[in-house]
Amino acid sequence: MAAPESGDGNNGAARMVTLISSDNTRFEVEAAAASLSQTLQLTILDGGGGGGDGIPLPNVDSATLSKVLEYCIKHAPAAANGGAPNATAVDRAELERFDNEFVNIDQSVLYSLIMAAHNLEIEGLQSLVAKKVADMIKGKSPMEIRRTLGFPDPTPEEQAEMNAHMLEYGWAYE
Amino acid sequence: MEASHHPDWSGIPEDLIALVMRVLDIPDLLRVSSVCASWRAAVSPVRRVRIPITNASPCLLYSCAADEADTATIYSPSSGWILAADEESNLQALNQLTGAQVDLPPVTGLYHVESCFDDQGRPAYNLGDDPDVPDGKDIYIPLELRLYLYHRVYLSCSPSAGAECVVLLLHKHYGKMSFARVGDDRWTRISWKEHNERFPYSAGCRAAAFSKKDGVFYVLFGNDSEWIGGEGSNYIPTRTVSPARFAARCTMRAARIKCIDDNLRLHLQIECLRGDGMMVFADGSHPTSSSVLAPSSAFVVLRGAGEVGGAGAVWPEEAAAVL
Repeated sequence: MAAPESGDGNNGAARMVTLISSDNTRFEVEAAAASLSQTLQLTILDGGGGGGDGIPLPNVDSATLSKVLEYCIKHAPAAANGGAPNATAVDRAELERFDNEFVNIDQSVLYSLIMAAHNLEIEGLQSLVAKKVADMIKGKSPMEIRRTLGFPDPTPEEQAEMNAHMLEYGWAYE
Repeated sequence: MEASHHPDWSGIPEDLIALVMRVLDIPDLLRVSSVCASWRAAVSPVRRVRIPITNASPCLLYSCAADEADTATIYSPSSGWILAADEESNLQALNQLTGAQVDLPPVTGLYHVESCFDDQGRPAYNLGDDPDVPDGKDIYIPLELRLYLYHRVYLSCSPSAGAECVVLLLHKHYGKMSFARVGDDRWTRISWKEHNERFPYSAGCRAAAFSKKDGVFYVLFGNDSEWIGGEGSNYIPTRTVSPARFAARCTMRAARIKCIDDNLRLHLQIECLRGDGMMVFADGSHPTSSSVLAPSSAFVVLRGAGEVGGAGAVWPEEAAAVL
């Protein structure tokens, strides 16, 4: 469990950092994976997160953090290669398969995930979840979108706005 | 895995919902905009990014994933008529379905626009009457004036009806209006001050609609707190100004104007549907209407039926490229 001293370049054991979720669960993860988060990258470059300290993430619970890190670990090698150039078609297909599977989850989890990705500034994950949400609401009426995403019942004003919009933009509702 | 709290999708940051919106097709984007108030607010910047107004491209041209790769779709909320401004900044009504074109009075027929030359001797327009320009010079080249001058246009009926058709134009400067009948040489300025000093003209005209039932245009004013100095947010818009007061000014042209307040917004929108009015505006800042600024040659090959509420036009990619 003891984290090795920070690795120097690509040789030797990878540097590990510890992240602490809002419910005080500790996650040990390679610095390269955690660095997909722009927010964490700064702290890690400053030498934070090693040893017994850990980086507290008061806005991310352990369930969400574990999911976020699953994404980061999977995407870290490609990110380290600077994305596409060295990736083979097989690698890319595998990542795509992973991504599709990864967001095949309940909308409330998607919500936690995109908020965490936003919080931690993980660009790829934000885009991935955003695309999934877009897929979920495509072709739906505003009311169906509200149901899909678990909105409360609309207020009379919201209902009126939806009705008026539908009248005004009838062609978009065909 | 369970979420630690109930998801509140209406409260997610604007840049996140914008990420979602950017991958939607236009019809989806429009529907999404009425889901809740915060999403509606987020649509405006997304539309500005996706529907740029340039000198080269018609703004009603959308590409849609449902289309073939070499086609684009054009949407019209009216029965085929749209208003466009040509390279000289003159307005025309164009029917996308029949190809008909009706010229409206020229831009120099507006009370505050005159031909002139810019400082390099090129033909230009001077836009007078701007209180912020002390020397009275506000010069635009013909190609650019249209981007600033026109806010919205409304029609009382199909322009093919000739002089029956009254065109109401909301234009720069903010809150100014003019109207004309098809076939007129000039626009007639609508001047509020002669009728009622309390009229909120300086609050700006946000939208208008023609009611076939009443035979009048309805004009919706912004409740800008600048209207009555000192009253600020306590300002309550004038509920209704008697149509007769404005009719007195306008009867010879039979365009009567009526003011309604913010609370009647829904009413206005429904009226809007009943009329043949089709909005044009050039600044792209209003999320709820279409932008049209295109050379008249832009409207070419057609597909689909000209139902009220939607029309489709096929647009070969190479044709779009040269427009």
